[in-house]
Amino acid sequence: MTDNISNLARRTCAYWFIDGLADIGSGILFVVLGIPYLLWSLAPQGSALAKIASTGRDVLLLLGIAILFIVIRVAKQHSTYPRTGYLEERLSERRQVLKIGAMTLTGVLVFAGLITVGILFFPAFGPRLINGLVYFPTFFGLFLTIVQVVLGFRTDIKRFFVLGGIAALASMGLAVNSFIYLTGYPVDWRPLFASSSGSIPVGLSLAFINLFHSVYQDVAFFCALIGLAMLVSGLVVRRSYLHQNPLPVGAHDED
Amino acid sequence: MRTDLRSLSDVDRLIHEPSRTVILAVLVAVESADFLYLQRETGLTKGNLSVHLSKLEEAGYIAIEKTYRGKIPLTLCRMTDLGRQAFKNYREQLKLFVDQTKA
Repeated sequence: MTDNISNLARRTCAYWFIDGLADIGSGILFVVLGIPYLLWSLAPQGSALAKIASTGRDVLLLLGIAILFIVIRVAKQHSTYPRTGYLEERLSERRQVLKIGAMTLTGVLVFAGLITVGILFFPAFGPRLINGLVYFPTFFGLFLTIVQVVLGFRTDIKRFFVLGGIAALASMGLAVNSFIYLTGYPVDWRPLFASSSGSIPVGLSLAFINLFHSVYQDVAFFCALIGLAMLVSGLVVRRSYLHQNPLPVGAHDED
Repeated sequence: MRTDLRSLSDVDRLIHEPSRTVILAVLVAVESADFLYLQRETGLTKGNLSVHLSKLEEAGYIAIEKTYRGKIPLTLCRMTDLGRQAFKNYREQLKLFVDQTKA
């Protein structure tokens, strides 16, 4: 009985992904997110295009997920609920998701804080830490892999494991590329600090811009790859869902 | 019949009916679900589901809210605290019985 209840809870969680809308939405978000990264890497530094790309990326990062949730909810109201019914997850489940989100955000902020403190107060390690940040996209890819695998276990949906595998492979590609950047083009950021008249914030900004300019193409490629994988997966699921669940004709609900 | 085995005869008969057990098992895992979702999950006909939901509502195990989504009627079902406790007791009684009767 306990197993059956667990299975039902798993099915409840899986219901959010039954129609492929979440995959399609996430896929589009990733592909769109890749565009500013690509523009940023191609545009000359300080150009209007680079500024637009940078702003677009920030807006997408800040508002993209919120907009995605709203769009998916509206799409579900029109397409999914009339076909297979409406379901609201338990408050405890939603609280758990919020808790995981808050813990992740806290972890990222603590990590960023430690890096900043390291760069500002330990000059001997500063350049190495900045160089190490080139692996940040790799960590993001690994984080995405973990998210997909956890989702796979929570919902028992196999496609999440495949998407997790793709994210892991892409992350490894990013890691190798980042390693080549660092070994092929060893960078010493101290001249940048000197050229910025000793101003640490300006020096740091220059260091970040130079380093990430070459990495952003990789990030754009990563976003496009993951986004397309999610989009294809979502479209396949969507097609199958619509085929299996035609819109009921005539009476609704208890009528 | 040993005393611990008598527990099965004390189970809540309202929950012990298979269709209602399935309905409550679905509702215990969610905050609320609409009629269409319950119908798909339980495999019951509209009429049958409607009758069972009414009985569970009369017992105070579920709360039914009739509303509209646009122009479409929407029946939302939610398990009450009393229903959750009753279902928990029912599961414990069944588990006890199964444990006691293991060969």
